[in-house]
Amino acid sequence: MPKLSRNADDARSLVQFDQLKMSRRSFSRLLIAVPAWASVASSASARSIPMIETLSAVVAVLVPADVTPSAADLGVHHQLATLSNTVPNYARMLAEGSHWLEAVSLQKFGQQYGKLHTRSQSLLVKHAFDAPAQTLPSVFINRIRDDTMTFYYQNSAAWDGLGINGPIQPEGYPDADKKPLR
Amino acid sequence: MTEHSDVLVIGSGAGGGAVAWRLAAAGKRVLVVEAGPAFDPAADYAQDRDTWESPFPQKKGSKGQYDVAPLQALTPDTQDIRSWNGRTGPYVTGNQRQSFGYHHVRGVGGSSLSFTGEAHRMNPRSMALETNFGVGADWPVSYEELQPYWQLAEDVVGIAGPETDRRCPRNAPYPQMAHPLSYASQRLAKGAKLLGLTVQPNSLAVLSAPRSDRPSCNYCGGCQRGCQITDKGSIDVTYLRKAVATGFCEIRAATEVLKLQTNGDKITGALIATGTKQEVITADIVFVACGAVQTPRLLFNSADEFSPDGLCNESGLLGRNFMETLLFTSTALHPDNLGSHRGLPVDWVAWDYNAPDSIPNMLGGCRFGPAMAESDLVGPVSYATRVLDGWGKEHKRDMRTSFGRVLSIAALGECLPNDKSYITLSERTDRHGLPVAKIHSQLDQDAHDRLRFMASVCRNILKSAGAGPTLEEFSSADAFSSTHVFGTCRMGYSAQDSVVDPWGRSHRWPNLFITDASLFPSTGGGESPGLTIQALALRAADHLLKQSL
Repeated sequence: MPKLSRNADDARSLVQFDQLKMSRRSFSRLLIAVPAWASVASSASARSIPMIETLSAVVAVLVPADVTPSAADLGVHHQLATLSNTVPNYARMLAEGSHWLEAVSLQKFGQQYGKLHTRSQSLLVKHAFDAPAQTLPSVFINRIRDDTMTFYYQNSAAWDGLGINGPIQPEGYPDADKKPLR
Repeated sequence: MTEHSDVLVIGSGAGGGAVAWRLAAAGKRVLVVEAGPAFDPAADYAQDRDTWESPFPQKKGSKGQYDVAPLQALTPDTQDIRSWNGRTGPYVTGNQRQSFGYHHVRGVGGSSLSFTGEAHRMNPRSMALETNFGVGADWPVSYEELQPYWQLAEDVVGIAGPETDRRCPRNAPYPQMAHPLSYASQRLAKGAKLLGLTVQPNSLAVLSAPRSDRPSCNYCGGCQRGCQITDKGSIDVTYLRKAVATGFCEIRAATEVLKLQTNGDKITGALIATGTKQEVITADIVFVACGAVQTPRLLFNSADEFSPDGLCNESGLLGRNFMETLLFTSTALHPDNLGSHRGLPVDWVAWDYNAPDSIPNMLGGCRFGPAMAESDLVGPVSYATRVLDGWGKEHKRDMRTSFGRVLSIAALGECLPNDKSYITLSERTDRHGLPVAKIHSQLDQDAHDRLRFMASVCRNILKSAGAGPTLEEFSSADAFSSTHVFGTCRMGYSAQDSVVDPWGRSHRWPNLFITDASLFPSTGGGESPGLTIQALALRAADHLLKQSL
């Protein structure tokens, strides 16, 4: 685990509950501000790798292709990047998180993240999930995991096998009172 | 030349819409001003798009501004009734109750645009709390007096309800047949019945048969996201459409009322703002229907030399007695695929504990019903982010085997008034320099006790329905998250202990009426207030017409 440093500003939580778009009826987390994290050091060579390449690779690990496309196939990494325009702290989280991932990849495997075997990529994602809460890796991976899932499953290309054929209109569910066919 | 109407209606939700129609249908010139925008169901609601799982759309001006005062500290005895998610942990961290918002829509049709269509009369016993139980206040109108207006509202909107409604006496059947229960709701109902609860189809402002140009429901479950095909009887496609069709009603959207104006004897009109333009409009009669948060705010902001403490505040009760929805939901995965993403949000109700004295050893009732849609657990995004942990291929497999298996049950409960729950003006101002509303909310021990009872029954229903371990719960105990708000302009007989009279007319200003849930002296045991708001508004309109303008 890279050495941690603390910044007084980072220590202050940026989660503003009045920014939540949550209610008992609607739990869209997309616009929630990213919480503060304890910073980590990263390397110059890690910073030279374009962030979008890293994001493309990591979202494809979070949601890989099988009978339905991967999250990268659906362009989710680009959608994550657009959140930087609206969500406080998001751009910095993506940049620092991506750089951390590349630094760890170079350190452990000698290669940039996008060129690793999927098994190694998955190991590093698991490593991030196992990091202590409120550290950069944990904040980064947990946040992009949820946002990746949100963007991915808002695409009908992801729905095959779930038992839904399309959006809820215009067909609705006229057979809602019957046992589902799937 | 100042614009003048017979009637000015401020707010176009349940109360404003109903009174506008009734008076316009009688030939009165009615101007409805609505601070929010108009919504176009086909264009604005995303139900036919890949992004259908998004919340009710926000448009410019579709949310009113308000603040929430710091909420109460959480005590250890509430640990068992707090909000949490199995994936992400507690929804509320720390030891203080937190605000998840006063949920409303500011727009033509008001919060009915995002409601689930529930249409309930009040339990007669809930309307006499002071006489029967020595708490709160009685309604200054009886169930029998209000009954014809509930019936009228049901007929206008087209409420679909059960043949036999065990809870409240009726003189006529519902205008439309009750909806069938979804497959998943049937499983929940079976669980509830095994516990001895009585399940009946919910009465809903959702068409079970086509009416005029509106189709019957196709059970998409998307009511809270806005009803794209208009089978849901929101105020815009019912009362307001009929009001405009009379030729006597104009609706002006995106128009804020900044202050009411008086001449010492009566309300003369209102200062309104449309964009940057401000003007005064006058009216013979004014109805304020902005809801229990924004109505007192408008009246406070209308303070003048004749009413320095705010209009209608001679009793000191303006803004007081704020009451909110008490809510508990519990959610779990069922081992079977139930297709639980389908069907109406709340297609059945168990009213067994609805009466104020029905829960043993406590005062204040509650009711139970399915909550998959109300918990927003009917689409793949919610499953991926709230139900199923993990990532990678395993997560995709879990999605395919789990989708449609969530069961969720909700309880809504009575809220008794207390002196720590009220509405004031905030220090923060809006773009016109006027203070926004500030919500002060405190739950007393009685509310916690009721929530604990509600939680217990919810959990037992899920277990009895065969569901697995609970994966999420949401509770008013630690989360202020209210759709139904009440009480801040209490109606009553006396000017000393109420804000308005039994008809909703200000005790002080003879041409000023209030017609929203701020009138309610009590909340009921979980009833949805929309139908009662409409009934009170229709009754007020008829009273006015009898007296002649």
